[in-house]
Amino acid sequence: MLVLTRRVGETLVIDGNIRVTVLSVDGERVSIGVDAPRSAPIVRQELFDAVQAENRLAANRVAPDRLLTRLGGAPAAT
Amino acid sequence: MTAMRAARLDDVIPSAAGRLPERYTLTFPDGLIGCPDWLAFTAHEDAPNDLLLLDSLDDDDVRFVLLDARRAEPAFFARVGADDLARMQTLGVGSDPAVGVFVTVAEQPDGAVTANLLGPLVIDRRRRVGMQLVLAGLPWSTRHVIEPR
Repeated sequence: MLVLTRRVGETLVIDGNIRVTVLSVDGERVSIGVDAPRSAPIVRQELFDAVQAENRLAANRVAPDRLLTRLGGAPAAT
Repeated sequence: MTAMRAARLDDVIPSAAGRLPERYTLTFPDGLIGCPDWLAFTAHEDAPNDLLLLDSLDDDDVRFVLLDARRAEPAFFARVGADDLARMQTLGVGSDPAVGVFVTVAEQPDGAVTANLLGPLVIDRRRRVGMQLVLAGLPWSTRHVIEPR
C-alpha cells in the first residue's frame, strides 16, 4: 500500500482524473471529497464487503428448488 | 427529477418475461463483486415468474436464483440515486428492452427470503453479458426481506 501524508485542503490525483481531497479531520473522523468520472464508481468498503458476502450466501446450492418454489417458479432442472 | 426518470424507466424496461432464449450462456467479463473468478454461467429463464437461474460454469457449487429487481422491490428504480441510475442507463437499462436488472435472492438461516438490492446485476440478454453493480445511498440492505419466514 502506498502511504502518503496530506493536510486538510490538500489533494491526491489518481490516474489523472480522480481527485481525492482531505476536507476536514475531527478526531478519528476524516472527511474526504472525491471527484471522479461516473465510470469510476465509488463505494464505501463495508458496502462492497456486504455485497461480496451476500454473493457467497446467495451462491449456496442449498435448497435452490425450495427457494424457486417459494418465489413462484418451477424447481430447477439439473 | 429522479422519480420522473425512474417512472420512464419503468415504462421502458420490460419485465423479465422475454422473447429471448430460455437457456443460454451468460458471461460476466469482470466476474461478480468479490468473486472475480465467477465469469460464466448457464442462464435458465423463468420469464413468467420474473426469475433467472444462473449455474456457474466455473464452479460446480455456485448457483444463483435471480429475481427481477422491480418484483423484489416495486420502488427500486424510484429510489436509485441519480449517479447509479445514469450508470445503469449507460449499460442500456431503460433504452434496450433486452437489458434487465436482477437481484440475487437467498434464504436466510431464519427462513426468510431476502433480495440483495444493493448489488444488482445488469444483464443484457441479447449480448449475453452481465455486470454487477454496488449501489450507494439506498434505504435498503443486502438482505431486503421479500418473503417472511
